[in-house]
Amino acid sequence: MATVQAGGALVAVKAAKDFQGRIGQPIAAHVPARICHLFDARTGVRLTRT
Amino acid sequence: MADIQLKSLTKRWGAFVGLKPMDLHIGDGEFLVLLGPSGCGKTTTMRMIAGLEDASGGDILIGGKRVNDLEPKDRDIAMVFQSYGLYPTMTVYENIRFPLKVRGIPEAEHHDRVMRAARTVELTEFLDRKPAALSGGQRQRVALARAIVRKPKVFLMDEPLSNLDAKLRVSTRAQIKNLHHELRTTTIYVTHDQIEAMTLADRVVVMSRGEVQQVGTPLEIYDRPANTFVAGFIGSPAMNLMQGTLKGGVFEAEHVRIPGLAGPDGPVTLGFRAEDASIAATGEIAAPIYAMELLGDA
Ligand SMILES: Nc1ncnc2c1ncn2[C@@H]1O[C@H](COP(=O)(O)OP(=O)(O)OP(=O)(O)O)[C@@H](O)[C@H]1O
Ligand SMILES: [Mg+2]
Repeated sequence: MATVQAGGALVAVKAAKDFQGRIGQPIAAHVPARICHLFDARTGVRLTRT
Repeated sequence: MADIQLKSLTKRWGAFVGLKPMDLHIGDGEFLVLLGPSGCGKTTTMRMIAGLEDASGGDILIGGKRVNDLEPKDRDIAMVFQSYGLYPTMTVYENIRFPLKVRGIPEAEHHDRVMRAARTVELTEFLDRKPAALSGGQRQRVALARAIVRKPKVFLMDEPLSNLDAKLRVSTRAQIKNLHHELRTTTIYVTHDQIEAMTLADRVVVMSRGEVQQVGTPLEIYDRPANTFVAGFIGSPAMNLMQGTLKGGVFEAEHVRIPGLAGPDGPVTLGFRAEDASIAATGEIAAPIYAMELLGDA
């Protein structure tokens, strides 16, 4: 599991077992729309499932 | 066997609301789990159903009959709580038998029923011992046997595994699941452990601050959390949640750009599960590593 700071939060992303990451190293994560959930920013209520 | 209906069930102590109006139908034979953080009103709900606490408003129906005004002993409910509540001076056998005595079940039936209950939870070799000479898991099984010995209409279990170590929790959990499969007794089970909830429940009620957040099967709650509270509470790790802006189907936040979404323009919270995402050469999130963690299969 690799954690990055993004969108004002700590965000965890699955890493392959043999992934060697160092703190501070820039990485990218594939986060396609189909795995995303949207919620109302104010109420927190679910908006859609894409 | 019986179904349970809660109609606008409410609890207040003075100005403090312990449970906001709760409406729920628990099917005959269903295993329902109340899940939520400490203080969200799980025990309060259970105690009202059991009759140990008066409801401030609303109705409780068991098998179609309103029970609000019935004494606990007349509700035909058996309870298993975190503290086992065993009688220290009685043997395991007498502990299991006790509910039969209290309820005036004919003596002739006692032995068979005690033995059957003891066999169900694999306690037959400990029947002559006192509770002090048992492990935590064995004591919890005595409490279970005592609950099943009189075949109640409903089981209420409030964190029955929380005093057990991790390994015993897993095996006792399996035993409870198997017991329910066999007896098909309508069961309400309280926990703040989401793994317990997800593995045991037919349906889960997620609660927060005295309020129901979502009711659904474990899969529904995991796949379609109704709000950010549920999203942030269910799953290990819980869902990632980020604040950002949606514009023309593109979510943007610091280090993040995700196109192809459907939703209204404006500020939104976007969530995804760590296990659904993967590290790649390029991607929708690009940022320096903050921490690395070895975790199960990831
Ligand atoms: N007799 C009481 N008088 C006033 N407030 C109470 C009383 N009993 C419980 N509460 C409050 O009601 C709320 C819900 O309590 P409850 O015991 O139902 O929580 P819970 O979900 O079972 O939590 P836990 O997981 O810690 O057992 C808490 O804030 C608690 O302090
Ligand atoms: Mg409680």
